[in-house]
Amino acid sequence: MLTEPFSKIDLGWLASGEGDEDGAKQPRTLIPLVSQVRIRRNIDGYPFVSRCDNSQLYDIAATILSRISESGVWSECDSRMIDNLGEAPKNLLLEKRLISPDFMRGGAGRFFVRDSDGTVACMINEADHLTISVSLGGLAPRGAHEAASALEGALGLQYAEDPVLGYLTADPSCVGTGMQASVLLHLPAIEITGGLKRNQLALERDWSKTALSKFTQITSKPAGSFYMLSNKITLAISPAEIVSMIQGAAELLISNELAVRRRLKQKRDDKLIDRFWRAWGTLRHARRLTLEESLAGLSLVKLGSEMGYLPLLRHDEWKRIFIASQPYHLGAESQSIPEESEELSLRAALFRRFIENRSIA
Amino acid sequence: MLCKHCGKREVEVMVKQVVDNEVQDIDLCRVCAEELGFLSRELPSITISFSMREVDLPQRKKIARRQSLRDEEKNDRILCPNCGMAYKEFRNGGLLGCPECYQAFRFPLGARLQKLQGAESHWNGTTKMFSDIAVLDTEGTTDERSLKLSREQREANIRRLNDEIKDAVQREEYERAAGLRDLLKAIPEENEPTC
Repeated sequence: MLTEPFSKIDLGWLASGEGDEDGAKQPRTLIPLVSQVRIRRNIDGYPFVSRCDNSQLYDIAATILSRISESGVWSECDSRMIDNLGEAPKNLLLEKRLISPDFMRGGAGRFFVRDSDGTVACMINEADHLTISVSLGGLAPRGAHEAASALEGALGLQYAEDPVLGYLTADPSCVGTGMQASVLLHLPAIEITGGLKRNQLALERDWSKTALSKFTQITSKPAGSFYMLSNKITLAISPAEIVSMIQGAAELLISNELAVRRRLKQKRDDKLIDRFWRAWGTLRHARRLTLEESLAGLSLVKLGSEMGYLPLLRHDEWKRIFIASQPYHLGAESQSIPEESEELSLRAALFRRFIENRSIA
Repeated sequence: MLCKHCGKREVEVMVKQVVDNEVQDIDLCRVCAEELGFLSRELPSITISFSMREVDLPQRKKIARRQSLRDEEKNDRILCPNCGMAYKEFRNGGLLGCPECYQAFRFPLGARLQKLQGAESHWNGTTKMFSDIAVLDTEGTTDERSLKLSREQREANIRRLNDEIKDAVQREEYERAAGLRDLLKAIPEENEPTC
């Protein structure tokens, strides 16, 4: 049994989605971790955030907050001025990908609003006046887009639009739909067998408006086989097309990942099985672990477990430790920000606790 | 390319000079070349025909680089009349100052959008291309918010599209002009839903 604090970790959006069991019946659900849709809008009649004075920024925030409360879309929501949040809560939001590093720095009129389970969140006055962000566990870009559009429509605001360019955003790389959709995928078998380039070429051929890149948002260096699939363009494309494209490209990658896993399983490669057990040993016995080391180990342990070589790692447990091992979540229990040295020890202790009671076949 | 000396006439003579062991390129028009003594009036004029492919590649790259630097300097001086942002500020920071910046910086930004997004407008080759209209088409739902326009919005959209059409015709982008014309026709009447 896991100790209380660990099992009580707030998973937020990670709690939703399929694949909460061992994934034996639905192996496809084990690959996508989270789908996210972000919609960027600016209120008509105001400059973009960087050129607004403080009174304009507070006006914008007041307008959006009052519309959110009048619309009644959320029975319960939590709105905070980012400057009033301490370092630890801000970093917890960042680790859950609910706010951006730039937004975390704070400033006049910057507010953060989220629903009760953290699935839908809004950043007010980030680069644009309003950034609606919806995160759903698993492969659900369509659901995330529907939820974001529903909120956008319910607010009934007049947004800055242009007949030729669509929705106008401060960053021209988002103009048009103002929509960014992404899926975080775990693709270890493709990476181990050196198939990444081949898959990127396949995406270029069949889904040329998507990009696949190594996920580095929570670590300075890439760690583990986590990849972010997202749309490259927002102009001359409709939101529905973006959603279908992300869904199609993700399904292609998931099929390829599962096909490679089947081939690896048939080969029974001793070197690979050895890597799984070494990763297991590191997480089971290490006394100090960096985030990069833990993610790399966790990625291999997850694959080994899903291929049947290592003890079973349930999907919801895996998601929980993924979140819990991040620096500020480690300090959440003690309501403090751990020093670097303490952070490494706390993380190693977390993994030892997580793995120690699992039976080894 | 204009003469480096007078800056008015097209370049006809390219001179390479070695000064203090350094090679200098001087691109001149015929008149300035004669004035500076690089061409003699007495000598017969020789016309050599060549294709640009035959011109030395590094030299062509150098010319293109110089041209793009000149364009960049020119663009950097463009100011948005609404928020006062200079294009240079945008180029350094990556964020525009206000919705009108899109119009003020339309030429340099157009090239940038083409590079970033593979398009300069939200038009994708069909008559209906706006994001929300496209959703209406594929989902078959109605959204009166996107179809109702105030008089000001409607007039602003018509003005903007007319300007864009003129601009596209001037730049001989006829396909784009036709698409914009279709868009103009598709603008709904004031406060009158089309579905």
